[in-house]
Amino acid sequence: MTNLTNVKINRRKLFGFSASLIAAKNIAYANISSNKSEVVIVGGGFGGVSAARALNRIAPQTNITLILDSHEFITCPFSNAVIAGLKELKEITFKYDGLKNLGLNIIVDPVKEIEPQSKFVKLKSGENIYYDRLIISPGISFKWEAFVNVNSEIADNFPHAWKAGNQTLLLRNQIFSMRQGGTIIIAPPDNPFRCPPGPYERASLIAHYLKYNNPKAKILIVDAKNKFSKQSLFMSAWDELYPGMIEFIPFSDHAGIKEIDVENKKISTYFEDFHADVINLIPPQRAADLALKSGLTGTGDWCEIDCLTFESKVFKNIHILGDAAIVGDMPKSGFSASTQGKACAHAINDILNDKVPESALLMNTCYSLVGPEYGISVAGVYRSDKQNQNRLSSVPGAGGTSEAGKNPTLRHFEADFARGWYANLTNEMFG
Amino acid sequence: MVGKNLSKPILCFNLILIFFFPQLVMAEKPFPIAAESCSTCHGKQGSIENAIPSIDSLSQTELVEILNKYKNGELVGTIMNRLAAGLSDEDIFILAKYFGT
Repeated sequence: MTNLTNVKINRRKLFGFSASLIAAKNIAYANISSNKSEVVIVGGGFGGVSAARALNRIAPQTNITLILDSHEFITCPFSNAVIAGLKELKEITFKYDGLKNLGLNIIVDPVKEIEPQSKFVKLKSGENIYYDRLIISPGISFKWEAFVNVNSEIADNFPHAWKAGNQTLLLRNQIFSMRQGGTIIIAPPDNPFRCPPGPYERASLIAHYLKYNNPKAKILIVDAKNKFSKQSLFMSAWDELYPGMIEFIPFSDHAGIKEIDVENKKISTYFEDFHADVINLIPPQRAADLALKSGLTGTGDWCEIDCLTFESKVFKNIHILGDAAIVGDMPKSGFSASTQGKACAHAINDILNDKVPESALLMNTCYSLVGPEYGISVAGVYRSDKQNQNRLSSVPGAGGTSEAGKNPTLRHFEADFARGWYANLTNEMFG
Repeated sequence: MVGKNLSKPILCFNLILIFFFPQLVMAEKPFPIAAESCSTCHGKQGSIENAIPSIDSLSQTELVEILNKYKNGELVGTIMNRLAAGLSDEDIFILAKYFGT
């Protein structure tokens, strides 16, 4: 926390502000008496934490302030394993002590507003934080308005479990207490959304639970899409591990959700009604509310950025990464956000040293568990495309999914690598 | 898994790279952005013990050889073939220089 009693006002910076801001109480500067650049990072997930640590490592001339919503972070990766009873929530919950030990300023106080003109972040407590460069990695919000007569309260009955935490446990409890031979609906949204293979990993691991605890139960995937990530790998694995248990109903077979009936646990589509005992409604998504109300999404749902610097195309000095941003061809994944956070730190270090950022080469790897010992993966390599405003475009011939076909050794390896991937990624962030 | 001795073609290839990109040799271990993706899984220092192979003790020449073998399919891995396929000779050289002991 910034100690307000030690705040020294820097005249050079002060005269740049509007009178109203000077009048505002609690204007805080972290170590303002030094000439170090102030980099403020909003977001305690994969993007924000990775950016903070990378910047701390490569740019010692900056003052880094990390602003968080909460004292801990619960990862979406491996939350499907919690739903299936293979892990506990505490195993995917991380505290920020590792970052505190690095000497970063950490403030737990949700951001109320961003002031792009005066370069301030306003916190809920009333404190205002000045930045030279702001990085935000705020994640997603749900577009409840996409459904008729539905608001966020529906998640109390039909959990999305698409932000890990209580929602994860609610869905797990509903599945664990479901009657024998019951039906679970998973309703994934159209693209783009957070973690494209996530709903199908979820179906797989729930099927794993049901196989041993409720073998006559069924899972219906009522999808807003006609095809999905790693589809052929998932579907052949389902035939192999959970025959007859998971049914994929593509958009073309139902034409979309028309109405949701909470009381009768029913989803009506344009072609057919689906009844279920448990409904996992994963709504369509957009950039988090903070990005939207700060005007960073422009007229769309997501933030447009320069892929080399991650700087917003709407406001200067604000860099956006992770799920909230459109980052070329990169998918909305925790690993993507993490590598983007690190690349953004490099770009900001260059900018603060009056250098033009070099071209970028980023990678993504995403593992999905179909069963505890059955893993599949998708990978991508993304390079700045000089012909296309340095957009991060997929490198042709690289990336793609695991090899198809029956190959238990490979699947076993990839399940182990999925666990290793998670351990290393979270260790790099929180260790 | 990986022999200590470099094959002649790879040695020649390195010499050619050094000839064409002398700045790669002059530079003091620059921190390439691509390395940030590698380190997420493999770590730079202190990668923790698990199924993902550690690259901490591999030399620069070993890394060039391994990455090239992943790229051309001589070495069959899981995701490494798919990732190495997107690396240029220069990328491989830079990454190996950075991560090599």
